[in-house]
Amino acid sequence: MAATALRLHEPELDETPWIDAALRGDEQARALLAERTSPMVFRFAMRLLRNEQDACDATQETVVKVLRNLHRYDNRWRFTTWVLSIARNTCIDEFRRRRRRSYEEPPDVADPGPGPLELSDHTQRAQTLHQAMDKLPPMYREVLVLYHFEHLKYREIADMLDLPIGTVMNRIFRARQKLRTAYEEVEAMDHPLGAH
Amino acid sequence: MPWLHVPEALLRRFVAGELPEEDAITVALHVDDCPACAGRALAAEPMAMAFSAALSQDTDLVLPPKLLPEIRSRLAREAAGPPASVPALVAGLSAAALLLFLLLGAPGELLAGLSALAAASGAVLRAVELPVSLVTPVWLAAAMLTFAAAAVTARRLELGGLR
Repeated sequence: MAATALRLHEPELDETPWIDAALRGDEQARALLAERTSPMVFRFAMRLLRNEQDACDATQETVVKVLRNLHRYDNRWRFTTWVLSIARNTCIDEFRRRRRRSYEEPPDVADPGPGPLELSDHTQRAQTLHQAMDKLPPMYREVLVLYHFEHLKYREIADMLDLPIGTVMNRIFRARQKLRTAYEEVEAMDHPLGAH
Repeated sequence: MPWLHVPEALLRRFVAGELPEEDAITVALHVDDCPACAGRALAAEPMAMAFSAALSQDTDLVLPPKLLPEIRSRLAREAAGPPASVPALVAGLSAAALLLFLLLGAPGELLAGLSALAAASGAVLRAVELPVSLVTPVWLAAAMLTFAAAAVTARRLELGGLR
């Protein structure tokens, strides 16, 4: 099954030599760390914020914070998990800024893209999932992104959110239930007569 | 834990969120460390196909071309230290304040205190690396407060017949 193949087996890059070099003030190592972390942070920010400009701002802010706070990195964490925890906090700030901004500007609606008849099953399923995730409160969207897209372990999510593992699991279960409901709603809107 | 891998029925109940918390935690900790069971758990999730489709589409999420150069130039700016305009602003405002006091003929102690205050706040601003956009209003407010305090002090000294 495709889901099985996508899970957990991406080779983990060992960033330790670059972190050490960057801590010694090696500018090339700092630039390389920025280059390596930016795509991951951008994807994560896009999944959470669903807006390219906001995701760019959050990525830039995150990478700068990562390099500024490199001396605080505790290597008991995976480097990617530590980076994502900084990205998460930055995205929360971005959410707050967006909430303030939304009083002045019309809401930033994600581009719905082509209609259902123009899409393949696979693409349509992905689009429906994204639209369903957009309907979830950030608290639920966040755990789904961390578990299903970033492939963090339950323990890592618990550490990152500073929550007991049982709470994290409950939140993921509840998020999945809400996602299923939202998914069915989006599907019903796309196919009001139940046609596929 | 009597199993090497999570039995199918137990895994399905885990995915559905039907296990008591203690059992669910046991399974979750195993799934965390067992890629085979983690894969099975994902496959048992009713939305597995949708997640898989969304993940494969996410490979299209590439970094916008302008972003990395922007990050690089911001990092270069940070490495070069705070913007030159910050110390220049601090020095300019301090000089203006000192000049004003010289023209007003303020007492030597007040001048010395003010210079020390300007130097200390300049150092603090450099240390906290505030962006110029923030520093400018901060310094304008600080300069206005300083002028007001100085005017009040000078007035009191005049009234007290000390000048």
